[in-house]
Amino acid sequence: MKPPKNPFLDPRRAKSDELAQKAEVAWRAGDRVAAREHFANAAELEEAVAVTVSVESPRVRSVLAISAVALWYKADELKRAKRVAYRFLSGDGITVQGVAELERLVDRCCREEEVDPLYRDGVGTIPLDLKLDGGQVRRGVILASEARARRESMASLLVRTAELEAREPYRERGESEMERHDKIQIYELPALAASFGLRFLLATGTQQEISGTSTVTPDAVVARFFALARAATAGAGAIAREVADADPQYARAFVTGFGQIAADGTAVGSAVFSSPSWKVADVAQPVELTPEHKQELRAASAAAAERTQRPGEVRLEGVATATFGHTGNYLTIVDEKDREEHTVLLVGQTDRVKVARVFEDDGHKTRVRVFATKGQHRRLRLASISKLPSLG
Amino acid sequence: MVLSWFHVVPPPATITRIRSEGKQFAVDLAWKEPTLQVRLAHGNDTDAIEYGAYAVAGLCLHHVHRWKLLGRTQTASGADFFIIPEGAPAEEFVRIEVSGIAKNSGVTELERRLRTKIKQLAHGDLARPGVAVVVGFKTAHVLISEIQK
Repeated sequence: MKPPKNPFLDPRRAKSDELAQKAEVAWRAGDRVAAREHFANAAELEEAVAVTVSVESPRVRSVLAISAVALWYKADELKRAKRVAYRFLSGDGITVQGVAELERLVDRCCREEEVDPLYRDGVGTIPLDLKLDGGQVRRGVILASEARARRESMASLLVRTAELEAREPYRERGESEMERHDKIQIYELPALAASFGLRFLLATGTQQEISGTSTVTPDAVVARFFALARAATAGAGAIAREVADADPQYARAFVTGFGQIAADGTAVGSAVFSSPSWKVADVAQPVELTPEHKQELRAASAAAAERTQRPGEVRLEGVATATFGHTGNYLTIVDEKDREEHTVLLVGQTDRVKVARVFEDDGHKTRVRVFATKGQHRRLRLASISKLPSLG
Repeated sequence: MVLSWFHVVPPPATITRIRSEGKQFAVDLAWKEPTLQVRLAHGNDTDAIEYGAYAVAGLCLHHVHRWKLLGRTQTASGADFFIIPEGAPAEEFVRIEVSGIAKNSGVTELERRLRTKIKQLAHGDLARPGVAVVVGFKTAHVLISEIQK
């Protein structure tokens, strides 16, 4: 049978599209096996049409070649996807943009192939990219400090998102439970030579279920991360609403983290999150964090630097006097609410430094907010201290 | 199906306002009451809005500019829809970015969404033109913008 003049109207394409849609529905319904099978059948048909397109129609040939390779990739037939891509790349009739897109797909297949197949079971791996552009960013080149700060913030926010999704209590510092239990693995991939990209791959951990702890999946983490990033574009209040059912410290961590990642307008002109995955609903639209967002989030982060009272803590606000002496270090505060004088012990060099920083501008008498815990003999010990604006 | 959330089932047809490249059109949009099977198949609101928007966008593009919907092709992140001027060779296809808004579909919100879609097209294939379409279901408004590169 002679193929129709317009390859888009080839009946095999209609069938391929129908199968791809069936695959998407199966994926959303959780039937991963059926999804992969439908994608593979669709890929077979798409590839058959793509090879019939003349090299004199490079735009059609390119778009159908990309489609065929993408379908093999979605079917998790990574070797086949690469083979088909190489076949088109080695011949003529592919546009410059088509070559770039096919090369990106080959790269993605190579990276995902490297990930232990164990992790690819179930939901599989979910990519998450942060594209940095403009400012002093060039193709594949960026100031080390700019990349480093954002890389660290991204990795930290991803772990925080996983913890939030698992309804874990807020972790002050130290090793994450999520990482320790191997429930979520975060890989970093090398940047592509287009602007500058920080690329991550989230995979399911080796240990699938731990009794007494919630389990989270990479797609849920990426979807939540995008919801938080979208909230970040609407300001700190929107982030707080997004995590309203969790410890307020989560909101503060996300406000600070997204503030660090956002473009500053000088070194980095734009910072855009995207997840090139059909596996996660609601991540189709990239999210951009602009210098305006950075300014707003940073201001909110500074304002929110005041921490909230935790269980077992006492909150005191008022004018304090710091005493550092050989008999001991302590603060004396006259609380503005009860008008009583309270003494808070400072233990060790860390407490001393915290207090000294707050008092450095105003000498040894200033208005502060203190959170203290009740220790032995109900004596108050410093947990945190921050400076308050003077009332006078 | 999304039209049935806000409008009476035709007749009379839903009067739909289309704005494209500074020109305004008013068209009668005829549609059938969704069957139970259709309602069940489109149980997910997000998907129903997305596919509904593609259907309305396809009709409006054909009515106003004689563009024909060619179908979808895959990318790593999902699928793109392509259109072609009626009678033109396949090589002249262009990509469309479509967005649907169900409830808050006032013109200001539609314009804001259109700007986002135009930006998305600008990030895409530099060698191709593109068309951005935003469909507002509640207000029965459609905005179309062509991007030439």
